[in-house]
Amino acid sequence: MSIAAATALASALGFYLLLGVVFALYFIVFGVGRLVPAAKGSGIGFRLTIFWGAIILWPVLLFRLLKGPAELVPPRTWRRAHARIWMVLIPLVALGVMAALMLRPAAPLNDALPAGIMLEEASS
Amino acid sequence: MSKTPKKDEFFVGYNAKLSSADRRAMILTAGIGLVGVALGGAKAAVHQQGWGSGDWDMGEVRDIEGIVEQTPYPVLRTAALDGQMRSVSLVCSSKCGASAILAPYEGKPVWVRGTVISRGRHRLLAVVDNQDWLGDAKNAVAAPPVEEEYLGLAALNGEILDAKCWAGAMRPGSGKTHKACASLCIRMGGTPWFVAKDKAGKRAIFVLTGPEGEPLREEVLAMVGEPVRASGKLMRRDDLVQFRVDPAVIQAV
Amino acid sequence: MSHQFTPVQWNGFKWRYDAIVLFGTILFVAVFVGLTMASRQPGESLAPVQILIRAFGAAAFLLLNIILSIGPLARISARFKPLLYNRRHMGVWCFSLALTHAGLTLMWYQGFSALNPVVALFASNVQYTSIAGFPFESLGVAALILLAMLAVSSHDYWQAALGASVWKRIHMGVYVAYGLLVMHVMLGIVQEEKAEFYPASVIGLFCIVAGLHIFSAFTGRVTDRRVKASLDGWINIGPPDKIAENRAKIVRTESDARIAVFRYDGKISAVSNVCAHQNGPLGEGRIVDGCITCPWHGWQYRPEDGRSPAPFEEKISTYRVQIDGGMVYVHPDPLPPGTPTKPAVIDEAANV
Repeated sequence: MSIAAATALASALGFYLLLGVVFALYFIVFGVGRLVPAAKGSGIGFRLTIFWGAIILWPVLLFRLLKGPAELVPPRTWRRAHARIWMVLIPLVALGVMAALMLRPAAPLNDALPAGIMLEEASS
Repeated sequence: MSKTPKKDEFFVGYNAKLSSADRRAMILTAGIGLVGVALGGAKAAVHQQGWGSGDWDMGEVRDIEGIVEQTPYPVLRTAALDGQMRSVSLVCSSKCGASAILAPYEGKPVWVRGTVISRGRHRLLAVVDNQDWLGDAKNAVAAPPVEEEYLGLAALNGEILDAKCWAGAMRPGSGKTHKACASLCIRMGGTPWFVAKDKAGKRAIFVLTGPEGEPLREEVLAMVGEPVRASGKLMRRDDLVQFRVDPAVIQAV
Repeated sequence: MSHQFTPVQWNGFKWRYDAIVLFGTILFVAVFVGLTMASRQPGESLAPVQILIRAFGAAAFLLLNIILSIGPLARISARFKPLLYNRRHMGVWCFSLALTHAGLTLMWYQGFSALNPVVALFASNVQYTSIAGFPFESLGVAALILLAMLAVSSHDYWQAALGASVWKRIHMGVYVAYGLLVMHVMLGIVQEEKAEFYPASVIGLFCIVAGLHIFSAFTGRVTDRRVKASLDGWINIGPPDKIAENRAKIVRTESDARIAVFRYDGKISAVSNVCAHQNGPLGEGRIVDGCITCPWHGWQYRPEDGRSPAPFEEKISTYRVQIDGGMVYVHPDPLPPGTPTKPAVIDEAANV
């Protein structure tokens, strides 16, 4: 990545988090209870716990504040999702691990170093 | 241990009460876990390869006098007791290059203030960035012309690394996990060195330059910290040997 | 639970749990740092920051493996269920260790230059097409971001705020983070070090975690076949005395829902098997003080209407039940969460 691209990426990240801080300040004072009525009147400790999440997850919270709370769906188990994730994860990781092992960089040694040069102990 | 707890042994977290069987199981689990963690930490520690020597005494600030030479990378040429010229590489204390400030002093006798980084016979002086660290020499400084000798062609396997990191600023200061640091140092003005080892357990250090002895930085960034093969000319200047290569022919191996 | 939210509802069990995790971390880091220094060869010098970078990275990775093993272990043996109860503290702690590792790395390797360390990190390595030179740091960054999302949203409040399914999707990200971290370690320190101990232990840990998940999925499956309803739409689940008192039998319907059929006080009631809190298996819980109690975090519901006792407001689906000819029948169509249903009375049925 070029310095320019890296700067753009880091700035975008910083900007996202800056917006997050501004949003989070609003959210922990007013938004907390608007989204979940049960959280109205909760203490400062709880609000500070929520603060960090509001910085990172602010787009979702903003969406929820605008669109209303999430629809109450009956809870379900996630066994099938777990199974699917492992079915993908195991072959992918196995492949990656094998590639990493086979292409381990082994510092190639020279048969001989040029004459007339001061040599040192490699371990020093 | 039975697989299903008896019905009066049901764990409800907020009651914070464990049945005696659950309590025994938890104590056993915690005990096994802690022993495993300690063994894991021990194994992970003792199997590490050597960290290399190299030292940077940041507490001892020294003034050294000598002649500034800027190309390809800043060095201070000083006369050793035997009259031979020794080259002390001049580097920053942080990750930058000392060239810009040294420029007006090219070829002139100066004093330089800094702390010494040393590994084996290699000496670097990390200049004290944040105060006056440079001035005209106060004493007479020997200034024989640079002794240059062509040592022939060479094709070598080795690793490109940052001189300052390798010589003692970082330990370890080479290899994969240090690659990003070495590449940042070289990009910001550090001195690239080329380390080649042979099967007899010996090592040679070269100053990596372009084909005409010009500095290389951006050109080699991608190859830093990896096993590479390069070919070029070997040229001795005083006590440093330059490995002059065309960066386009440096290849990962 | 929908009463006053607090940062952590502390109790003695949580304190002891956290104390052991903290002690384990200190033990690991201390042993690693101590032995690294003690096993130093003459003439070698060490950089304390670089030792700590390795110590915290290894501690975070090991802890993540432990965390991911708890779920399947608790499925395999109920003895491990108490470990589940405070697992989220371990998760947040794991993220803190990873953050320390990342912070030290960023400061030490990418700091001290005119460039912003984050810019320096992104720009420092470009070899995305090479395995040997691959910028493994980027895998670590991606995993750290995922772990951060998990850690900051681990409070129960987030489930209510984000919606259960969004919340769960975010938290399934732990598996993606785990995969990324295995590769971060393999392409980083494992490629740097020569000893076979490192690849062997990473592969070993992954096999244990993956193996436990596969094993628990299969053992769960054996007792978990789908049950067909009879022609009139009701599912026969056998005589009432096949269900232990204050316990449940779980049936899986053709539409892949799980129903927990409880027996208590000579009555039978059926509710959804899935807890409204963390989707825990209610049918593996028991009746405590007249309420169905989830084995995971102890959330409670009345068997008659699937509602949490006041002041809580959680609701789960209920199902119609009846006893006919000495057999318990449950209807597979769920009633809206919190719908009161008439329990089937066992004695009365026996008299018929």
